[in-house]
Amino acid sequence: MKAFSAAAFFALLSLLSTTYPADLAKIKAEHAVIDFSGTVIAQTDTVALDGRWNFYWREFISPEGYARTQPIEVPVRGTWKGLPYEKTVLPADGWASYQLLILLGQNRGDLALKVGNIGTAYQLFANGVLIASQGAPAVSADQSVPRTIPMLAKLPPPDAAGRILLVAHISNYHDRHGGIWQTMRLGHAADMLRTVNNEYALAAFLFGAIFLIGLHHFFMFLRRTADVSNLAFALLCVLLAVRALVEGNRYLMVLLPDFPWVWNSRLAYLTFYAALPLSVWFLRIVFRRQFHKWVFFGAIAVSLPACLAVLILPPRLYTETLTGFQIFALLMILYGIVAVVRAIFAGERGARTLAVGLAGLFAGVTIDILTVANILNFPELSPFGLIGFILSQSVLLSMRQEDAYTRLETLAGENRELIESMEVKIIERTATIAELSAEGDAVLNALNEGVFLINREKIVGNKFSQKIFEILELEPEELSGKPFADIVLKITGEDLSEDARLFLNVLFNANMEDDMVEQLNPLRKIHIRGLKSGTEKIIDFSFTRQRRKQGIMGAFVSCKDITADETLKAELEERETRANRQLEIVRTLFSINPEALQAFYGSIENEIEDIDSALSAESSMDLRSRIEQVYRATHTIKGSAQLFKIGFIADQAHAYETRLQELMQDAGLQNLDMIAVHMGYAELQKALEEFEEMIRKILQFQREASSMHMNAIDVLRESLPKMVNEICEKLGKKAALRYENFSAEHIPRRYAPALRDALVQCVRNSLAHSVEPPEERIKTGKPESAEILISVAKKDDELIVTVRDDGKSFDIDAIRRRAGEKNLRQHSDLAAMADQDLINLVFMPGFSTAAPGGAFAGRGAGMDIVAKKIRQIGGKIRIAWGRGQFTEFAFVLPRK
Amino acid sequence: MALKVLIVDDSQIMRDVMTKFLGNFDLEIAATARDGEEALRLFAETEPDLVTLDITMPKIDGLAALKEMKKMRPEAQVIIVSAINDKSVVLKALDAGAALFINKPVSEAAVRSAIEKVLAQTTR
Repeated sequence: MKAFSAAAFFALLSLLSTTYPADLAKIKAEHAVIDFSGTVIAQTDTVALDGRWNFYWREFISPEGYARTQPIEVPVRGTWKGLPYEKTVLPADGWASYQLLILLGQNRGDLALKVGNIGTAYQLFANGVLIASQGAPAVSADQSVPRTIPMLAKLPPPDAAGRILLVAHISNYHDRHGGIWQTMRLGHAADMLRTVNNEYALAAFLFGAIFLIGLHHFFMFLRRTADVSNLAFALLCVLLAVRALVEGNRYLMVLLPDFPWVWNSRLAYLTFYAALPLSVWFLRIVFRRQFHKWVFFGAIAVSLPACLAVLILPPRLYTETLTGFQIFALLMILYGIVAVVRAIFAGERGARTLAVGLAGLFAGVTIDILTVANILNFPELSPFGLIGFILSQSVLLSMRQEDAYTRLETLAGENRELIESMEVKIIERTATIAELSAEGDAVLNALNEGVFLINREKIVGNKFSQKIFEILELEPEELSGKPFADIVLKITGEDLSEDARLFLNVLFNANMEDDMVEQLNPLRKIHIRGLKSGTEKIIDFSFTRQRRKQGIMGAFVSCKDITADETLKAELEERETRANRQLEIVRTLFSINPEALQAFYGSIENEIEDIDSALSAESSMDLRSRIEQVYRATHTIKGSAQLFKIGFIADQAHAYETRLQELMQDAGLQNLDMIAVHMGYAELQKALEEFEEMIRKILQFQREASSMHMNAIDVLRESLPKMVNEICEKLGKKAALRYENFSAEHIPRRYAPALRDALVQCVRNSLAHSVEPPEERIKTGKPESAEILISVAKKDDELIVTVRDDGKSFDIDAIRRRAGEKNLRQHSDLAAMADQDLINLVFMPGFSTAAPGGAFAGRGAGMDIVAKKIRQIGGKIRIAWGRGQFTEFAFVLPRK
Repeated sequence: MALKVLIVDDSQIMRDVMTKFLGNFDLEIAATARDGEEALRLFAETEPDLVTLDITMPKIDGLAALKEMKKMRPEAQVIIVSAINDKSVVLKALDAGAALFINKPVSEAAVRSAIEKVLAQTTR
């Protein structure tokens, strides 16, 4: 393919190039005459007019050939600069005439001249007629107008002898060389025109081809700015494309006749001067290892000032840089060739291709340079070398891009492999997940609760723990893929199902906080009847949301049968309630006095009777009246219980009352409803009995406790009346005790035991000796029943405990007699003793006046005990008495 | 621009509490209402962006008021402020278009969280 492209390319070039017949090429101008009279110039032949022409320095001879000065012979094509002339050397600047006689012989027809570049302004005459001119040749620089473009000039017919005299007026003030730079060619006009047209076509082709290659690479660079080789190459192409227009036939100036000659010249130089560093840059990019960066910098260092000079200096000056730059360019090209060769040996990709292109360019440029230097005579080959070079670079770039594509394809292949291996991995992973999910099933089935998933559409998934079927009493196909709300409807009822449906919306609302959702869950502790078993059970649903970035993706549902738990809980609660109730009873008992409790029972007695009668089977009342009666009674019981702050009875009564109220609102009461009334009453009764029983127990406990710990005075208070009654019964007397301030609170505990004994003796004594039998009391006008008053009084720092009876009081004679009997005093003394003193004898040990054997007094251990006890507690005894009126013992005790 | 809020509750204390809590935000308390009837009247008058709505109220209850408000101006955001004694009612309110609900007794944190959510939605 590559070989074919190359062949096609060179075939095209050969079509565009000119042919040079060998025999004609041998004919040269000699002594300003060129002789074609011996040959035939064929229609397609062109002949060069090179040779030795006449040269008139600083003279524009007449177009007919008349001159003032003697000519010298000079080589044409060539510059006049440096030619020996009158012992000097000609400068570049100046003016001159060239003259040549063309002997055409028998050659006739429309002949034409191809006039190449002539530096830098000229007029060309043939047989005295102006046939071509460019610019304005003049004898001074300021009058001269430079312009160099190759052109075709039609020759006038030759004279009768078949001769044509060519005279050229040339001046140069703008280039380093003056004179006829390029070969002038003679040929038939039609063929010459064809040739020139071909040359224009070639220029246009070169420009278009190279410019397009440049644009192409420039766009590639814009697409991928990382690869600057495209940019370097694009710039190089644009330069060389422009060069194709401004060099050679200078097609640009044909296309744009007004384009300034000096800018055409500058462009011609710039495209050469700038192309060098661009080429070097390109090579540096492509063969980084072989192309030294200092060479690249060197190329720039030389090119930049040269380009600058072209831009700012006049042509006459900048054209002088050409030779030096050409030598530098040759060196660079040599270095480039070396680098490329090294690259070839290093096996760098594309090095061979580039080497061919570079060699072509090198050859073309070298030949052109040698041609310009009049060493060789070849048509201009640089453009072909250039386009070859460009093509080779383009091929190199496409190779690099091919490599890139190949790498890309490799990568894509690798990617594909990677993707395929990923797929394999995914399949493997899926299998693992399947296994895991098999394990998951095992785990699920081991769970003691029902679990499943519901998706965003509120549809139940297909994974369950086995327990769920047991709890909900549903088959797998009744769960899997079914809307959750439908399942709730199936196991509960419409209301809850509706709530569940609304709840699911909340559940899948990502804005709702988890705890709020939890609070709204209507499926907590719901009572259901088993669909198959028909047993009542309590189940509990809980929901765990799967929250993802996109929202709630699903929910994990856990369902538990909590019947056993709840039953146990209810039992525990029941027990706790009972315990609390008993606690409350105890609390009530301790906080209210037994009288209050008694009063409570008294207050509800009638109500209980009312209820009993209303509920009695014999009742003649209608159902409603009976319930109303029960209701009223219950209401009263409640009121009483509240009054006495017996909370649990009040609660119980209230609950019963509420139920009764509900019943009363029922229009169609039936006998069956009485069952509820009876049951409620039974519960109330149970509470009351429980209360009573507790009271009994507590009171018993209280009694036992009090007998052990009660204050002795209080015990005495309770026991004294009994004692009085007993004694009175035995003695046939009647008496009653009366207390005044006689209680534990008024008597210090420390006096209690002594006072108890003292008071008992005093009371006995009063009953035995002072209190009269009833008939006697009646006779004396006293009440039948005597009164014994025990009073406690505080006076200053004394506590006075008094025992007073309203009996006949002391029998002084009996005392005296008794004291005599006991030999307590001399009889004489006794007779003389005052009553008060006699009475004091009562307190003597062993003194007793009552009849012997009397159980209640007169045991000898009588009033002496009283005296002794009172003395022991630091007290004194005062006695006051009125015969037949009263007896009063006062125990005066210190208070402190 | 600050969002306008209508506070609806039959308890003076709750109205005061909500006014105080909502004062922490860039909100304009447009009005407070003591029952459903007043709430609907003030809702039409003040055109609030946000309503905090009690459920159990005299005259017109919160659920009915909510439905009416959503009919009048569906873009108004309604936050239910209620005790969840009756889950069913709260669920119905959320179904009727309430954005969120705050459980009574209200805490400042709960109000903050709810308001921030509503603000995030309306400014989105």
